[in-house]
Amino acid sequence: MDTMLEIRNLTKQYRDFTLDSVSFSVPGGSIMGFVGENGAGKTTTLKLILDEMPRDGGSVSVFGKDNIREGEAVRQEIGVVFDECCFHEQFTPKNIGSILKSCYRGWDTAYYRSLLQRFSLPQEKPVKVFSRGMKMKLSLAAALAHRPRLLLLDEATAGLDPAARDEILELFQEFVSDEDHAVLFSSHMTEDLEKIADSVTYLHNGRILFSEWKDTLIDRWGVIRCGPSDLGRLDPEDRLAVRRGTFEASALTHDREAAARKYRGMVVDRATLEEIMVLYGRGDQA
Amino acid sequence: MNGMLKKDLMLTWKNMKSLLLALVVFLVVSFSQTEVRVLLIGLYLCLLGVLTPIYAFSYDKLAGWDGYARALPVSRWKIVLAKYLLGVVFLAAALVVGVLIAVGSKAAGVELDLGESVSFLAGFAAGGLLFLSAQIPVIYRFGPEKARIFVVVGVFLVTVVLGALLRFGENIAFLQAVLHPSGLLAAGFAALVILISVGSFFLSVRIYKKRSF
Repeated sequence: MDTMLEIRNLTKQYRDFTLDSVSFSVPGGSIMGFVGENGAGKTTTLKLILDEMPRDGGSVSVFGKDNIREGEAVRQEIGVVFDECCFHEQFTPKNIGSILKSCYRGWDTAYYRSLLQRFSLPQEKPVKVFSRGMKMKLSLAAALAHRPRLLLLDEATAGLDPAARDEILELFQEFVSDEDHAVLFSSHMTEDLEKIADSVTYLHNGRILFSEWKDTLIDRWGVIRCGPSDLGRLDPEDRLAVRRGTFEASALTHDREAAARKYRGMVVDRATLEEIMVLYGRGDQA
Repeated sequence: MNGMLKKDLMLTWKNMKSLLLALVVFLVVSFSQTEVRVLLIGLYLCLLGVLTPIYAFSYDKLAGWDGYARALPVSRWKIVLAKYLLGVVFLAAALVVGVLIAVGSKAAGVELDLGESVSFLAGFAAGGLLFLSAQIPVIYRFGPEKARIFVVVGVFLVTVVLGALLRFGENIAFLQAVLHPSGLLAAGFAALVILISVGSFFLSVRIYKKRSF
């Protein structure tokens, strides 16, 4: 599998926040879930990939091309869906198609129409009469109609009903059935990621905590349940993140089976993405 | 860039349909009036030419288009150029329509000095372009909302200058020269306006490239 997106030591400094040497890569034919609490730096990372703001360090390579030096060529092959529909309310899907056709060399009008049809979006009605779900579907149709190789999604399924979410997730899976395609999917919806992501990158306070294959996380990682006083007995590698309750404590380990052998009498469960996010995001100092 | 300009023209058309319709009615009603009325129509048209790109900035901001536009495969300078071109297209159209009205009015028997009217109309269009050249970098720097105060200040200054010229104009040799310019003076004015506009464009590109979206 070719690497579709490679980020190395990406850094952006603000007065009160630093995106600190972020590195990860997205292979072809895969969907990477990009998770982290609000303000962790996910949107900043996506914006830096798109060269929407100047970076302070590091590099971004898309299909082996530098995202700044070859910015236009790179963006020809990227489809973007932000958390809000960015089209003017006065425009109809037909207007939007006509505008974007002038921007993308590979714009496929027939495919765009088929996507609108698939999503049951009227071509002639203005965006202002669309529901949030319809607007997101329109954004997705617009992001796909130039047949991009990389999709960047920023909370693209937030606020959608389960049926609409399922429909969109199905489309992402179809998209990556081509080994030359990839998706970077920033989302808080862990159930969506558990359903479709192949790998997960976790950003916390501007730093990458881990970037792993999802199956590794689900199969190998675990949550040790024990009494609060038992936490001290755990080795540091089995306390990646901990959470103390009054009667029970949880600790995150990246080797569930080894932990189960090591700590007899303690319950060691599989870790869900949601638990990992909660433990890292809201957990106490390990 | 075609896509950006197309987007602005479509947006303008959707938002200005009623305004343009009112304009047509106004034109028809005012056609056989005085020279001042003809010039006022020209001024109104140029005002529309100035406001069109400024409105386009506001609508872009409202839709959240700016960040999306940066994700499109369009050079930064082309995105900026599209806004200037929008102003140039509308101001040029205002000038052409204004001259046609002046010629039509003259043919219809309105007493007017065609040369003076055309000078005035060209002056309005050039003034509009200068106004945009001052405003667009400010809008890129501060955003359309914060820049609105500069628009108000700009309009106030233009009004004061125009008022002063109209009040004391008869005695100002400069104004007489402007109203009846020699070929050299007209070319000099045109070159100055173009130079300032080009400078403004490069300044806007510089600001736009540094801005985060």
